[in-house]
Amino acid sequence: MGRYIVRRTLFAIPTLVVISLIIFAILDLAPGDPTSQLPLTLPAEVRERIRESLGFNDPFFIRWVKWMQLMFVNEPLNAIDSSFGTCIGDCENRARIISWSSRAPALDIIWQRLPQTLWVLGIAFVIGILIAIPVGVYSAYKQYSMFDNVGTFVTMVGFSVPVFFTGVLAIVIFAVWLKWFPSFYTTTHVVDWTSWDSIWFQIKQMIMPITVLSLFNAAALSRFTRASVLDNLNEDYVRTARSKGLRENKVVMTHVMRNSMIPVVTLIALQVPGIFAGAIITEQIFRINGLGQLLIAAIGQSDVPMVQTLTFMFAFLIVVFNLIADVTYGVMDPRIRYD
Amino acid sequence: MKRTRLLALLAVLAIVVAACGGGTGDETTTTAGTGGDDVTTTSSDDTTETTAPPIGDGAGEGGHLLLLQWQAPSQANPYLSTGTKDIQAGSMVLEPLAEYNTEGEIVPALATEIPTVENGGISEDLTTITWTFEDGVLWSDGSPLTADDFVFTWEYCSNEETGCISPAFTEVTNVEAVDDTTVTITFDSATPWPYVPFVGATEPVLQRAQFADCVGAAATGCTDQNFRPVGTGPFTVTELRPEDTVLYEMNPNYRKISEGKPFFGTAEIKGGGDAEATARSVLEIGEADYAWNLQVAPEILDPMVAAGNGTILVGFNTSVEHLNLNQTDPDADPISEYQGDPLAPTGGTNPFFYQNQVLHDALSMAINRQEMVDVAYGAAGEPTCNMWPVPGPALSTTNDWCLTQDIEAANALLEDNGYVDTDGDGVRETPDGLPLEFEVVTSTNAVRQSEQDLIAVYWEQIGVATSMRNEDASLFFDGTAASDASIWKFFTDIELYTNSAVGSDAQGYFQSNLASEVPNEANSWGGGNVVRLADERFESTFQELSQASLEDPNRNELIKQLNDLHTEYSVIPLVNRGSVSAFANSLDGYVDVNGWDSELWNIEDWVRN
Repeated sequence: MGRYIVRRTLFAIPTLVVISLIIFAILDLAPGDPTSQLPLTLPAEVRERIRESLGFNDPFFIRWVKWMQLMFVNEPLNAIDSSFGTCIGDCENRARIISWSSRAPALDIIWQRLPQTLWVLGIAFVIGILIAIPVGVYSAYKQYSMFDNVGTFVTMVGFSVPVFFTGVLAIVIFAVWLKWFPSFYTTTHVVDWTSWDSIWFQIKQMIMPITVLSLFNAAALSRFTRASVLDNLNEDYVRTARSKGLRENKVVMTHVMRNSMIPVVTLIALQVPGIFAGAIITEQIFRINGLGQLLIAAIGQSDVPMVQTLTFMFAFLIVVFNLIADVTYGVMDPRIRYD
Repeated sequence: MKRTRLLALLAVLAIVVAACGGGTGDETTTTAGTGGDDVTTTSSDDTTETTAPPIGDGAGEGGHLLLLQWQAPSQANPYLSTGTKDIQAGSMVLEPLAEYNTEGEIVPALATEIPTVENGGISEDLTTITWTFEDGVLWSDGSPLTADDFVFTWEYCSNEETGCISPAFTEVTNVEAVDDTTVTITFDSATPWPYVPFVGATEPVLQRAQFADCVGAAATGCTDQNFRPVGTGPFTVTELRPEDTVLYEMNPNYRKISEGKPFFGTAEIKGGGDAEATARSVLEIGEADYAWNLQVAPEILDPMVAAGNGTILVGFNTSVEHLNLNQTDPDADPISEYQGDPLAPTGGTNPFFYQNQVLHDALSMAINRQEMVDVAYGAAGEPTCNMWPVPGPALSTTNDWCLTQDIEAANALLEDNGYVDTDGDGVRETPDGLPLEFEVVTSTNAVRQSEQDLIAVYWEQIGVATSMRNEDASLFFDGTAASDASIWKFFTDIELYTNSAVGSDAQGYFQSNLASEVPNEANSWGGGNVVRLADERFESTFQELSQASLEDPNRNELIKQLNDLHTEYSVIPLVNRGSVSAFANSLDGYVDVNGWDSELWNIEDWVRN
């Protein structure tokens, strides 16, 4: 297993380099002008000046190599310096990847946004799992019962109805009519864990987006869990366990679950990068201003460095979590041997 | 138990990272050397429903002001901005010498009065203008504002590598500090309209002490300065999160504190979402005080106003939604370019529209502008027949026939001039036999698409066939040579978009329509004369205007003539667009929506009832 991990990690490096080249190339070929949002009254010379100052006109290869150096050398060094308070090399003048629209280091902006993305989407993801697995298991166990049929119906609806509908509906009901919850998310709210008001405010502003998202996540996952458990309930070892006299609880919760969870955990691991990409639509609707919204805003403003950095980050996370999913699968299922 | 352990680990990981991130919520971007930020005031507590009445006349005791801008600010330095959203964010903090009021008039901000030739502020030869500002004005960090800061701002913006977006200083040769409170600006030639540098929220004064190391290529690295500029305005920035939120608090050194201004102690510009969501927040839910740039269809906006929590106001300026009739031929080679001198072209002229008043008038007459406004703009638009639509002595009335739709007259006009449908397919042909089939391109936007639908229907009734296309705004307004869909390249027959002037300078506006400003490959499609108007009469009238002094009463007549020449055959004005904003009922003091400057130009006067 150790060798397998090392080999996969080594493979990941050229993979990521190629991914970065492709991302860079696609964005470079696409037309897009960082000055397109500026007033039309701006003379052409001024626009050209701005583009020059952003490095827009440099040739493709130079920009890619520069970006690679910034991304793989400067940015990690900067992360180490700011976390540990060290100063490696020329820490004062180290160049960083700069966003064209805000002229600030792209990774600082991304880091600044992680809290709201993780708070809302991370919790929604976890709650989705916590709902989906019990529901999936019980639906499979009591197949075709009332619980299963209702569960099937609800998950079908939850999966088919798009988030932009349920989100806006939730806002209309809970924010406009009932006025229970705010319709937008205040990212600058700092939770004071000693003050119940502060905590309650955070909960209030998270409830709607989390509910909407977790229902959507739970729908897909519960179907998958149900299918996986159904497969296992008909296996011989279950019959053996029952005939041995084990309690039903132990049969299901220990033996069946263990085997059923293998593909489910793999699926969950593969979905984790999705948290970071953000539920873009949900973020727009509730004004959560996380990573998904940042990506959309950057695309609309032709802020190429920001788009490159974000898409590369997502690609990196996908590669990493693919590896984690494969390793988890190997760990959980002793029948699998990687070498 | 590996399964449960893994799941538990995942859950714990998510919560721990989220909690860590949430606790240090203000990880702002800083460059090396600048300290971390103090915790900011939270915006959570004060809403429009629960603020207490102000305690006496003290400044800053009015609580929190929540402003919604669906296009979130990226940074607060107007000189590096990427749009009006940034300029508004900066205008809470930074001030210019003079600004535009809601009527489009220039009024003093930092300056004591507006210089004119009469009061000696402008030199007789119109090459210099001298501004004096109040004594004793302090920056928010307590140091005094001096004329040297204005000199520095000019140095900052005129350095090519800074990437300053303001064109105000391109014709300025020198900015001099005559004494501590007097600044003289020198232009490279006689400039009858010198009210461009340091006038308006796009041209504020920057502090030399703060921005000294940010001139030239270093401008990009000055994140702290760009996010938290030191200003003389009523507020200071406490925290700026790009594409998200800006938090402000009252400037303790603001010069009008003794008058009890600003009323609010803290303020916030919250971004994100779309225009409709921000309108809902102010008008239906009442959880915010102000929402900006509400480009929302009237059928959605009007019911929201009926909820009774706020009002909608519209500020008009020179923005005119119009159709450009390409004067060059998009099917010739080279595409959309004159061959030879634009004023005497040897080729490349458009076979339909080139100097063709008949076709232009028929197309214009067929459009029902009032219906277009009712469907697409509501209160945010007014039908117009002029590219210079500003009410006043310079407003032309000769084109007002276009305000009434007249399909019959349009058909008659075309028939009488040889535009007949010879083959019975419902589409007329020119006297040379070319069918009147045009492609109309605009940006992707619900309002614009509904305009296109209406135009297609109107023109069908006069025998003109159209195909409608839309392009993403980032491509349509892409000024580089990369996008073939850009308005400057004009690789099509007709374009639809909005044009506007800088401030209330008609001369500067019409200057962009001279023959020398035609975009072509040679100037990298950089000219402002997108419609490619090339008319001797326009050139000579403009010459006259540029030589007339500001006090010459003939200027208004010349402006009207230029407007009429511009709209004679090359453009069809449709709607004068205003900026729509929503204000909570509890808010007062904003007077109106300012279409000429930042809408927050008088933020120090805003109060809550």
